[in-house]
Amino acid sequence: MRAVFETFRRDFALMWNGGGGALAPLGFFLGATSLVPLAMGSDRALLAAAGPPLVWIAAALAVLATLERLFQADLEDGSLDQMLLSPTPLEALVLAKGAALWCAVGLPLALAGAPAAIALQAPAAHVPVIVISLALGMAAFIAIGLVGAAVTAGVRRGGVLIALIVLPFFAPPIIFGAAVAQGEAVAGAMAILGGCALGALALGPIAAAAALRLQAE
Amino acid sequence: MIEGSWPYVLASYGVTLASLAVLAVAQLLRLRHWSKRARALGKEVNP
Amino acid sequence: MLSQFANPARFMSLSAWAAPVLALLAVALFAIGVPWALLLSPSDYQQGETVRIMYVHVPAAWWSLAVYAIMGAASFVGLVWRHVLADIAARAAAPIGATFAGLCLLTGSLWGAPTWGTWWEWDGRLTSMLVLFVIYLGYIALWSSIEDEEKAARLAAILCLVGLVNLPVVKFSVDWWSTLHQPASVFRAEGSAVHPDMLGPLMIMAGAYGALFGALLMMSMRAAIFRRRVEAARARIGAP
Repeated sequence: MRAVFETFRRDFALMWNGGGGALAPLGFFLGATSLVPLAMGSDRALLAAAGPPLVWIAAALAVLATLERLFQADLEDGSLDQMLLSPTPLEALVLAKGAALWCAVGLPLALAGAPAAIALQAPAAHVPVIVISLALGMAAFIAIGLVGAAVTAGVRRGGVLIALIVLPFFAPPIIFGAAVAQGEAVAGAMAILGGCALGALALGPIAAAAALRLQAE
Repeated sequence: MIEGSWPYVLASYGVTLASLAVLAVAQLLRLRHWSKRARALGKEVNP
Repeated sequence: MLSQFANPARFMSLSAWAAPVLALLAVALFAIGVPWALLLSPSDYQQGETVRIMYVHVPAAWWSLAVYAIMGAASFVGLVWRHVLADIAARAAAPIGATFAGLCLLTGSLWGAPTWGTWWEWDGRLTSMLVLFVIYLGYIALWSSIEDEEKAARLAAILCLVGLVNLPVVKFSVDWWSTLHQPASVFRAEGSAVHPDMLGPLMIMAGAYGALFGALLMMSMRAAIFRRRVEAARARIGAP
């Protein structure tokens, strides 16, 4: 159990120390959402109709960028071998890495969704719901991303490959998250979004751990 | 009753049959390529 | 019978005759099915001639799902029993399945334009089929990007198994979301809702696609086995 916390703490610290942690994805996210009104014109009605869901695209792409290095560094410097030797199940350690990513990047992105959604003309009363849905969505993205990152860990410059592999699985959270952002069938969409997140959290670490064991061979 | 839809029907069949034909030809060529190489190597090893 | 496929040598001797037979069967079924579908089958009183697109669209859809399921089974066998033929089969099946999925999307689009007035709609069935297509592409790309073939096989197998979650979504999407696409009409608990005159050409075309898949799969697997033999021999000889 201690190993799990240690992994979490280490990864979290690494993310903030090496490369400013959440700042890059956050910057990308805010930059991308700022570009949307520029591209769509400032017609408020149009933005209100189509804007909020675009927050989801920006969030998905932002987290995608962090996935490439997730296991790459561990594979290169031998930390992966250490994790395999540890008595703690690899699945738990992988989950810890994912949790660290969610705390360092996912949650800040979800919170940044508040100003972004407002900029895209979402009704202010709806923003907390959007933030909650983003938090769930980021958990789903990260859990799925763990598999994509694990499976491509040895590939040089595998960023595009990770995107290709992982984006089809991002589709359900994006679809339902965007529905929440749009204000349509919020309760149902939120429930399904939560289901996606739970499912991904259940399946993702197992598949990722299996792939990592293969990577280390 | 929808009128004037034959172009769509023919386009669908055309695309389908063309794609499947291309796929089949590609697989055939690939098979021929590697089986030739394998046979040549076989002769090299067992003349 | 499964043990027939276990041994690569036995597979090679089996496929040496089975692949041509399946290929000929495919050609024959297409030769029967296409004219039947295009000319002899009835046109729909609502959809007119566009209903004929069903005979290329639906088999492509069925087989794109079936092929992925077969890949899933092969991936599982390859992962658990470390079976080389299973890995080869999974990799060989992917481009064929991807083509079927792509054709399903293209012909569906051509069917939708005159019938629904739109080339595309983001409803459950279309979206999940597009997702399946992209999953196929990712799988194929992953195989190509890892140098060690054994490792590539295992990692691709994991990816394939994860992707299986999409299959029930595609199948049941028309039940879960009532939007644009026609609900299930052939394989239903209460029996088929399709007119018997249309069932004939549909089943012939489905058989044609299946025979073609079998033939192409075997051809692709044979090519892969030949390639491995060549590469293994080169490695032994130390050729450049």
